[in-house]
Amino acid sequence: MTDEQAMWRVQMQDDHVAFARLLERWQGPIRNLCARMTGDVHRGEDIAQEAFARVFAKRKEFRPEAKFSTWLWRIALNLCYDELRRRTRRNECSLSAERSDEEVSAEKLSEEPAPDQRLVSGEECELVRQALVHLPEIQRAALVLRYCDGLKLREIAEILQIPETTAASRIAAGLSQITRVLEPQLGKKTN
Amino acid sequence: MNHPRPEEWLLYMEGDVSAQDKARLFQHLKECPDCSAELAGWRRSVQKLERLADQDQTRTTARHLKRSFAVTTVVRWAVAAAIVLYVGFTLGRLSIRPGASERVIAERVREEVRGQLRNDLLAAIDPNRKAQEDFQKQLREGFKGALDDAVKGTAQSTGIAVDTLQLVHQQLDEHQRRLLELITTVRNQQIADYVSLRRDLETAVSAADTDLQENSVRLNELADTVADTVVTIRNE
Repeated sequence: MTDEQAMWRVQMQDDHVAFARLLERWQGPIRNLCARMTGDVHRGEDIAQEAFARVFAKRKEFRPEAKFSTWLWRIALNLCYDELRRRTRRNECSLSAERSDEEVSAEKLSEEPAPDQRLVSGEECELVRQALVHLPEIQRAALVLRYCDGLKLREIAEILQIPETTAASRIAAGLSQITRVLEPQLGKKTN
Repeated sequence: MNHPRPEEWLLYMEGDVSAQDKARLFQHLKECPDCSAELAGWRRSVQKLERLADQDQTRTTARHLKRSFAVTTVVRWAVAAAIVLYVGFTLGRLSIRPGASERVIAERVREEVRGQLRNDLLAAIDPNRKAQEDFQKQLREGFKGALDDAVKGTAQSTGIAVDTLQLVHQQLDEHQRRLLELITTVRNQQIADYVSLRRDLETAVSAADTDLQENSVRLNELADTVADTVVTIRNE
């Protein structure tokens, strides 16, 4: 069942099973997006849940000819922007994505690289997460969608409702900025 | 030196340029160390972002694997425990030949123990199951709430729409009635005006006719007088 077929069932028949399928398929990517945008894994999970609740609440507004993923990304991003604006008003700043015990223990089930490599990889990812949080929201969203979620330029432009050239320009600006932040910290290491 | 725009470098880096542009940009890289360094920095940053995505994906997969593993293990343990209990009860009861009521009680106890064992094992092995169940419960309640609100809203909207429609019909009827009255009044007025005008015209025509007749008589008299005068002058 495609996303659009499942969403049609949710829209027309309030099909909870179809919705659960969409949830299963998309909760990972959406949770990751929200965590990267907010710099907070736990808050990212809350926002991801909120995104799906909103998708269900607004199911009648989904246009059948549209792409479900684009709509979902947009809802999640808007919630992230709301969260960031709330934080700016409250003057909060969450810089680190604290890892829970579950996340640490979950790594034990994956292939374990050599200890020093794992430490370097973990540290680097943490620094990249923090660098992302320091980018302007519009550049952060464009970078995350392109290089973390693997979306094409056209798709990113559609989600953000901007021309492709603007999307390219934001990605380029984001890359320049994040490079300036990361290179002094991580040096010029490559794979 | 004219540097290409950042968007051009992005497309070049992603291999999304024409052969002509590719050659032009490549030539610029050979001549411009700043652009070359910038692009190299971008490539390194892209690799770091992709590694971050891989780590998140690994974490998500591990979480799924852990849950599936835990559930599978729990299910196996629960089945094993249930089999042991059942066999134990059966053997025990076979030796004593219980009556019908005792069999019913034994069955209920087996069910209860199985259920309790399953819950205890699940809670012990997967501490996040409760969180997951809470989340699912919240989601279900949220959906149900949203669904109930939507149904109520729809019913309310329908009721309001029906009332509004009835009101509109009533007002439309009222307007129609008033319009008809107005038309009738105007028409009656027009008829009265017409009648009055006709009467005035008839009066005017009649008066004019009378005047004409009088004038005609006078003219005849005048003509006679003139004729008599002419005759008199001729005779003289």
